[in-house]
Amino acid sequence: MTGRPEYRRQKAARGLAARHPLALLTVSVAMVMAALVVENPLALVILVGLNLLTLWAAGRLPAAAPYVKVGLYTSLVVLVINPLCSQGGITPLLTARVGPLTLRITWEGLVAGVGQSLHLLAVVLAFGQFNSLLDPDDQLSLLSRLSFRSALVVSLATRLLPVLSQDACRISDAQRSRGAELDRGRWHRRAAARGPLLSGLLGQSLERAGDVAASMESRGFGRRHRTTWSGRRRFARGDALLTGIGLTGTALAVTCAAAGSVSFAYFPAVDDPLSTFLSFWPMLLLVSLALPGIAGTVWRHS
Amino acid sequence: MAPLIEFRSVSYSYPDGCLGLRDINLKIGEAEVVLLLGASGCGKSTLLRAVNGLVPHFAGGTFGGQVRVGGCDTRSCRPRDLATMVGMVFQDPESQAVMTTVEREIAFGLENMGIPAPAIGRLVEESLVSLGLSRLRRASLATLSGGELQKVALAAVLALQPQIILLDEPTSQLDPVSAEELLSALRRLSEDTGSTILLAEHRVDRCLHLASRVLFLEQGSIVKDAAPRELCSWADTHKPLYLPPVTSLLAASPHAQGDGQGGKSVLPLTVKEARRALGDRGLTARRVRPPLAPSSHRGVARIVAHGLTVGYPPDAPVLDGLSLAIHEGEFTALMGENGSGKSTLIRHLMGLSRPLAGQVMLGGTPIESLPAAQRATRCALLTQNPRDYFVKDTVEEELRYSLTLRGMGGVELEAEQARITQELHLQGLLDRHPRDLSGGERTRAALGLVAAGHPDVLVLDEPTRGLDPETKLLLGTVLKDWVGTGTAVLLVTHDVEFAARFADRVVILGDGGIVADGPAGEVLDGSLFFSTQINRLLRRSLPGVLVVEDVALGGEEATCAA
Repeated sequence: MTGRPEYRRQKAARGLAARHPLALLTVSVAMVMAALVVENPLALVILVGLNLLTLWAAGRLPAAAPYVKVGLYTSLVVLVINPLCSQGGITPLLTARVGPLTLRITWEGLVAGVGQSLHLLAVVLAFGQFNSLLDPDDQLSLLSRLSFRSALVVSLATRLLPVLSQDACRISDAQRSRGAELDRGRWHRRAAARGPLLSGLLGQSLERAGDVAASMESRGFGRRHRTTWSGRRRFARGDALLTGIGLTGTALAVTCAAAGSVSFAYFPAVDDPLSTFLSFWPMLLLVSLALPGIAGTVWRHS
Repeated sequence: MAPLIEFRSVSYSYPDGCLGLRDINLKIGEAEVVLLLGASGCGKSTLLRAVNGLVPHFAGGTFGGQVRVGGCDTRSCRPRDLATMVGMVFQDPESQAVMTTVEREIAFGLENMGIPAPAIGRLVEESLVSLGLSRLRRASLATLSGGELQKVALAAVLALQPQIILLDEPTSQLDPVSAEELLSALRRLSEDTGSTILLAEHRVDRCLHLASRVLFLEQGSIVKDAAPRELCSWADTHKPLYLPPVTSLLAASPHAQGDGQGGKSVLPLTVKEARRALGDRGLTARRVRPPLAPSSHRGVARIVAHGLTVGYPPDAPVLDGLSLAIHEGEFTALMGENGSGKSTLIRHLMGLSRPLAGQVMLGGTPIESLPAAQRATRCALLTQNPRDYFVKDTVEEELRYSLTLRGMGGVELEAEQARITQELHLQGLLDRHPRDLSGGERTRAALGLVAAGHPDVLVLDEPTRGLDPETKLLLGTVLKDWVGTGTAVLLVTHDVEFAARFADRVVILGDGGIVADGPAGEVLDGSLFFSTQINRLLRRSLPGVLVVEDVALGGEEATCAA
């Protein structure tokens, strides 16, 4: 049983999600920038938490669920593989010979694995926030002022994961209704049962790509002198506030990166996370990233 | 005056060698409403795509001859260049959306045309209002029902106000009211603005009277090009399944053989014309098939829903406290307005979604507690998109996979595969890739996959969508046969004629629950929109008659005057 609410209506956007797209764009860009530059594992944990808070405050946590899943799975892979590959570090925990290779697992390698997986999770979630908070049509409308074709490519690409996720749900339901056991047994058995679905998913994606392209072409896509219509959104005081916060967060992320105050070394010995974390600029960056979530929580309950 | 659209000796084959069009010569002028008829895969969609240049620019293949649209040769003008003149609504509304919200989707084409933003706002608003979509303006397309998506696709084209509108089965997912409104609006648009409309449609009863001209296609060729009445006279002899029910009724009457002056009587296209024809010719109708008496003993209840409340958000459920039982040996049609919750209900009946409240029991067991294989053996579902079922390389592999999933093997599997193949006429499709099949063939193949193993309950979500009359008749006949062997069939449909012909019971959803539930003859009798042409024609004199087979026309000796 999937419980996928395919009949769900779009609720009238409220609170944070109802803000002007420009404000949401700046807030999301700040989060993406921070996720890219921050390396301190403690700061990354807080960053992931702030990201989830912002999504929750905007009522977009369910929409970001696919990103959370993808982020967790890929982070898990990094967490497992990284210690096996990172042989640096001064505190060996295990040394063994596996055929022609020497396996050396170090404390620093383990911590680096945790740090890298957290970093990956933070980046995936930040892009998830960008796509869940900012409607793809709004993204297109904003970015198309720079270059429409590039913006459309970005917009279509960012929709790929949710569209594939919906297709996968539909195909899974169809297969369940013909008797395929997709939800029983251990994970490897479930994965094997879902294997045949991939060809269906791929086939549908290709067909859809052709159909969408035909639809775009027949509606004049690619003509010169395109205009942009952005509806009737007003830029309110709250939007200005959010935009300011977003711009500040982006500026702080750049400043921190330039000053090296969010960098973190795992080799040869692991840095002290607290000593690099408890400094002025990283704290200010995290505070600026927390503000949209806090404001959203207030708006949500007002 | 030069024709608006001109085909000169146009032939076309798809890249895989499949014939699309063969030697088409055609001229279409301004303000014509041209209806394209023919079986699935006969070339209707290809012809429409040739008008806006998608064939050959987009589809590739081998193209011969010339298509001129508004003086432009489509070989040198790309579809995007023709977009100001030609608008097209494709067959599958789910896969033609570019944007994610309703108003943005409508604005997309206008933006491409370079229309100033203030004018876009006005045109978007007009389109929303004209198709009753205002309440959904900010809705995400992913949350809309198939019918609502179809309206959005139409609104996106109407907003462009093109001189030529191409519509590929535009009403296939619309409820009767929406379909009627839409087709009337299109006819009005053509009359008021001089727009030319080319419409491919299988539901002739909905649109034949609106057309000024009809083209009948067979294997890529136009075999008949005539005005609607002339087409009916021809179809009466050659393609009787393509006649609207009232036309069919009058065509079968004794007086239809001649008008007394050496000519054949004019066949009616609408209920109003049929009523007049009955009076003018002194014809009377009598019931030749007794109405189905409501059965005092229903079979065992196979699926029972108790107090089902479903929807999101919880404070505004789509269905609220609904209770329904589906019995063995009963053919139930589930109908209702677009977005009334039909597909949602069957998802819950199948245990694919969790209700907010209430429970669904399959043979006395809560459905969610049953393993998928056991559930599918007892209760199978065919969803709106048959493509979702295809994961193998041939139809035969798909069938075998379905049967294996249900625990069959050896002789039993072979026998069941043979039965399904024969009953659904799949013999010629077994070696083909499921994604290469036409719409009707896909539906038949997917039905075979879910019905393999003889489930107790068969649930079908709009299986008649996009089917030609021959395939629809086959589908109805097969389902009726299975019902005769004890299978319970629950079929979601907007096709009133199909429901009237085959269903024993009709359930209509509305206002968060069931608004009508009873024998088809009772529920469909007297309804304004959820009723058949024959019922609307004869309901006063012969209440309860639904289809042509229920009545016969005669002279003075007949029992009831219409």
